[in-house]
Formats: sequence, structure tokens, C-alpha cells
Amino acid sequence: MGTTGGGKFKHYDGNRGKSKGSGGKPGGKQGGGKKNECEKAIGDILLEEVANCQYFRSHKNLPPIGSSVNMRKILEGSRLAIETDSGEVLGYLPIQYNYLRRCMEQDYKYSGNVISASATPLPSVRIDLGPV
Amino acid sequence: MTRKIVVIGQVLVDVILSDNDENTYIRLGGIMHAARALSGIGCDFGICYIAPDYLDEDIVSYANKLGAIMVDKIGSVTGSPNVIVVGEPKEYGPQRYEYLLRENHKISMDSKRVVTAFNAIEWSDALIFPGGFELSEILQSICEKGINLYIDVNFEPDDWSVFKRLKAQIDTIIISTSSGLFRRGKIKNADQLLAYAKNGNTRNVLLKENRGGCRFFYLNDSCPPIHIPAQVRPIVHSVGVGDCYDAVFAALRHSYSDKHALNYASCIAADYADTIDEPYFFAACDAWLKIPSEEISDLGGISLAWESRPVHQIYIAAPDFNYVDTRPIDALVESLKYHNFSPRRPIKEHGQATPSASRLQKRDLFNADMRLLDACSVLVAILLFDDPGTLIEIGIASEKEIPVVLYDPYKIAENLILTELPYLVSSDLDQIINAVFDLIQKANKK
Repeated sequence: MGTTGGGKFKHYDGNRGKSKGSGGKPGGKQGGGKKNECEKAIGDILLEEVANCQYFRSHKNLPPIGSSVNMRKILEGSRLAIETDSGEVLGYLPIQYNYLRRCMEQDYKYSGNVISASATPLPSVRIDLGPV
Repeated sequence: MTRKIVVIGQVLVDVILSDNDENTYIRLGGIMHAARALSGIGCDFGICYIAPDYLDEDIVSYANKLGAIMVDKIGSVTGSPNVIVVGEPKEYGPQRYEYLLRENHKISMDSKRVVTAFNAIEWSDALIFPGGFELSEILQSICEKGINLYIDVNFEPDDWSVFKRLKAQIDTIIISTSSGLFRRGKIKNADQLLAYAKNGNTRNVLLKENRGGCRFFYLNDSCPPIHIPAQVRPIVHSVGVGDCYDAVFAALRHSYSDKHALNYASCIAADYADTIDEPYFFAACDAWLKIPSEEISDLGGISLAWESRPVHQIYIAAPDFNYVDTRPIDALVESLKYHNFSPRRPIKEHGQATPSASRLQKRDLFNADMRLLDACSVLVAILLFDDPGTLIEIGIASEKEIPVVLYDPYKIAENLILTELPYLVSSDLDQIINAVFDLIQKANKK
């Protein structure tokens, strides 16, 4: 009969007493079989508040599929915003992606493309987003 | 005074089970969660710990690697390995903790160490996690030294009158809605909590409401409570996340307002839940602390008070029949109830139409179901198979602009309308519960 699971402690093996405040980008691979969240591409994000954002209010329309978009580092209100190349806010990221603000502080930048856009019945935009 | 925090309590061994053996992990838990967090934010800290002797070498070595400025053993555990096996680490429902040999668990305190532990260093704050050991002597020693005291009462004590006898006030009592007092219904809302705490010689109460954020109450003045949103996202685990929250809050109060300190704690605790990789967590802490406090406090999230959750009912659309294996429905409903939501199961409540039911009986059942749907703020559908009733209810709810979440445990949803109509389609119960929090919060704001 064999055994599985944790055979030993999975612990930090550095020395925090000397290395506090290391900053910068974390390593590429996390424990627990999980990749660094900052380095993950995120597919098919439905943007929020599209009807109330600058782009739709100005153009009464939405950018075509394939248009490039970027994530703003500065919050728009209390939200992480996605803007077009011309700098107009297209919509907000759902709050589950708030950690990307921290990733940007670690020098990650995010951009992507519009993968679907529909002005009716309610303006809605889906994007793919990833680090650049 | 420079902030120096001493953390007091048991050290445990956390065994986090996973469906995938590669992801099962084992690490030091108990007060070591708070120690990791304090290390992460660069705060000077020490530990006064209680543990079985076999763990001493690992505890001392690990605490030193984290940068502890004092590691002091104040009590020993016998009869139990102090191992906790966690079967459901994400806490989308009850966590299913198994504390091995808990009935044999005995603690013998080293009275001399308890008295002297707080003399070696001039501590600014003490963060204590009671559980299984006698509190009064420790609390008295802390109070005599004038150390600012935080007590996390999630596990013990249920009776807070023990705090009344202290010669100094407790700065903050910290409790979560996962605590026994909430789970057993002894405390059901914030008013009851505050009434309970007022007997306890306490200045402030921090109520952590899991994925619904937290509230910070001032008991001695008329300041309104502070509401802090939770940074909700898919997580790896929830073990020790609340302890991380406590530690960051207590440490950062020296540099920031309560509101800002709590918001930093919320962001950092979310990252603690997202990883077991410590260098990654430490880098995340550094990054959060570089973001200005005003911006951290502007960042939105989920803020949904415990007692406000049952106000908005949730319609469960599913083939909830007595001839169907309804375990996925049961699991979902149990998880929703765990978070104090009000799931409604129409078939269980109104009855199941039989083939021999009359037209009038069927009409009555249908009307009752539709009245219930009208009374609900969210519909959660569970797709066990292509059940026409479930699919039609999804359509009706959408037409009524009642948001729909589709739990698809067997990943069978393929139809275009079925995949595109709902707010979320997922086979992951953790994500379903997050979506419910988000939608009920939105319903609450209307």
C-alpha cells in the first residue's frame, strides 16, 4: 500500500529577516501547481458599464471586433478601466480582476482585443486581455 | 513607538486535501498564518506559541526564516499531533475541518514563560488567537505591560465575560461569520454582536463577513461603522486568510487610518487566499503597499452585510425530483445557506407534479412556482440534464430581467442560448457562489 500527499512541509526557504521589501515581479511559477496570476492571459471578459462609459457616450457605437484595447493604470472612479488606443474608456473590468492593479505595480502592463461587440439590445463588449 | 507585534496561540499543521495529489499540501498553520502576513508587510513580529514538542524544530527554524525577532514557547500540546485536515479549502460552503485526536488534546502552559515572554521586547501590540488554553493569565500579563490587545475570538471563547475582569481595555475583538457564535445562531446580526461585545470591556469590534467584506464598529463613540469590501475572486484556499487579515490590519493601523488599514488588509488577504507560494505572496504584499492608500480604499469590491443577505431570495431552478440524484443541488443549497443566503427550492416547497395530477393541481403548482420566481432576486439553475422545466425557467427569469447563474457540474451546456443568456455558466461552485455575492450586492443597491 502506498502513500500520497504531503510528505514534508512546503515552506519558505529564504530569509525574510534580510530580504524584506524585495519588490519587483514575483517568480513565474507558484506552488500548488498554479501559475503566477499576473502572467496569465484572461479570455472572454465581459466589460461592465459599457453604456455609461466615455466611448459609447461619444460615439453611440462600439469599436469593431479586433480593435486593440489597454488597461488603464489609474483607476476610473473606483474601477479598473479598459480604454481604446485613442484613450477613451470602453468599460470596466469586473471586480474579480482587481488584483491586476497590484500586478501593474509589479511592472506588468495589459492589452488585448475586442472579441465581440454589440450595441443592442444593451451595449456589451467582450475582450481578451493579457500581459505585454 | 515602533510597531512590534507579538502573536500568541497554537501552531498547527494544516493538511489541505485536493482532488489532485500534486496539489495536496502540508504546512505550519495556526498563528503561523499571521506570522507570514506580518513578514510579508515587513512588520517586526515575534511569536509566543503552543505546540506539540515534535514541531519545535520546524517552528523555530521557519519563524526565524520569516524574520521573527522572538520565538518563545509558552505551552506544550500532548495527546494530539495538532494536525488539521481541510477537506474543502475554498470555503464556498462548510470547510469540513478535521482536527485529529481533538478529544485527546491537552495543553500544559509554562507559567514562568507566560509571565516573562512579554518582558524581553517592548511590544506595541499583541494579537492573540485563543483556542484550547487558559486565557486569563496571558491577558493579564499583556495588560500589565500596556500592550495594545487584539483578540480573534473565531474559535474561543464563546463567553466574553472573561474580558470584563481585565484591568485594561481590549483594543479590538475580531470575529468572523464563520465562527461558532454565528454558525450556531447565537449571534445573528450586527446589533446582537455589538450587544454581546459591550459586555466585554472592548473599544472596537471587527466583523469579517467572508466574501461580503467586513465592518469595523467603534463601541465607545458615535463614529459610524466602516464598511470594507472583499476582493472576491477564484481562490486556492481560505485557510488562515482571516488571520492574515487581522495581522495586516493591526500592523498597518500604526501608519494608516482604520479605513485604509482595513482596505490594505482586504487586498493582501485576497492574495494570501490565492497562493501557497510565499515568495509570490511577499512580492504581492510589497506591491500593494506601494499603491497609495487613497487608491486602495477607492478600489471597489463586494460589500454585503451578513444580515442583508437573506432579504434577497434565490430561486433554485433544477430537476429537484425524488427520482433524481440531487447531490449537486444539495451542495449548492448548503453553500448558499452557509453564506446566509435564502435559496428557495420550488419543487421541495410546493410539491412534485405526479403523472396523475389533475389540470387544476398542475395549475396551482405552476402558479406557486411563478409567484416564487417573482419574489426572487436571482435565479440559480443547476443543469443535471436537459430538463425542460429548468430550461424554461431560465428563459422566463431572463425575460423578467432576473439575473441567471447556471451551475453546470457535468459541463453539458452547449446550446447557444443556454451558454450566452446567463450572467455566468460554470462547473465550479466557488465561482457560482462569487457570482451570487456579486448579483445580490447589485440587487441590494437597487
